[in-house]
Amino acid sequence: MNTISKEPERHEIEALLPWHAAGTLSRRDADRVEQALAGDRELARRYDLVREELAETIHLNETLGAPSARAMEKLFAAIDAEEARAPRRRRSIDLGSRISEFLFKAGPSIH
Amino acid sequence: MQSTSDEVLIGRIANGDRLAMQVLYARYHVRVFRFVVRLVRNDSTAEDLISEVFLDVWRQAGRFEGRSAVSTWLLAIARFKALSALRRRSDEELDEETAGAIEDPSDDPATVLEKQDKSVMLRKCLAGLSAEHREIIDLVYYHEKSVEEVAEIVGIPENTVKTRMFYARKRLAELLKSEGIERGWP
Repeated sequence: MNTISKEPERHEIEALLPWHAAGTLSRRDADRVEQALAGDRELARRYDLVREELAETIHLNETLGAPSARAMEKLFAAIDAEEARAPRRRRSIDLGSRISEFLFKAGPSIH
Repeated sequence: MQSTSDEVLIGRIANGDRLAMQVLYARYHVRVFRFVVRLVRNDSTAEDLISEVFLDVWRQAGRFEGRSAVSTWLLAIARFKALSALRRRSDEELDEETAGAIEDPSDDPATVLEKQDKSVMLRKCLAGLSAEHREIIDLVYYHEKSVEEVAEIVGIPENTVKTRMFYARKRLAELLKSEGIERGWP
């Protein structure tokens, strides 16, 4: 197999490997990486290392658990308190009712 | 069945729809919690912070312009909250935590066995990275953020995102090497 002849281009492709593994590259960049991987055995080996890191990062994060119900209770208690202090204006409803109100008031004079 | 898009939910939240807030919370609270807990290394602090993050969403939904994904916006708010919380903690406390995270407790038989398991070692070394390196690794690998999105969340140029990711991976390789795992890179 041939390696990529231009070293700067290889560095550029190698820098994209983590995003390629995560599937977050644009179609164009993903094609460039795929093409490079197909022709460069060392790059492909390094890509395997990236994939190992990806798998273990997911595993590590998945072991972190989740917040207790306390977090949600605290959030909605805070929202309720804010709404009790100063109820938020419903934008679309406000606009709609204002238009209705305007049309109702203006109705008799509109021809 | 298609679920309501994040942007539609934000629009409803801007109008004071409590149920939309519950849906958005259910959709993202675990991921936001995990992002925060990896930065602050404390479950209780992380729980307090995610309440604050979603309260900010409730307050600021009307100003969301949709230029980035909702998940990117959430992580950017979460990051800001986490860093503010970290600044409130003393430097000594942080230093001790960082040292503790990479410290090898002992060389008892269980540890020897553990060292033989490359996956376990990889996870241990991932946990031992600095906050800056953990953050970028998590954003790219776990939160599936593009170069552009990471740049937006962290507030750095796109080229710096790539460079920081490179150095985070390089540091990871060094930590693995110090544990006897040679990867042949960099």
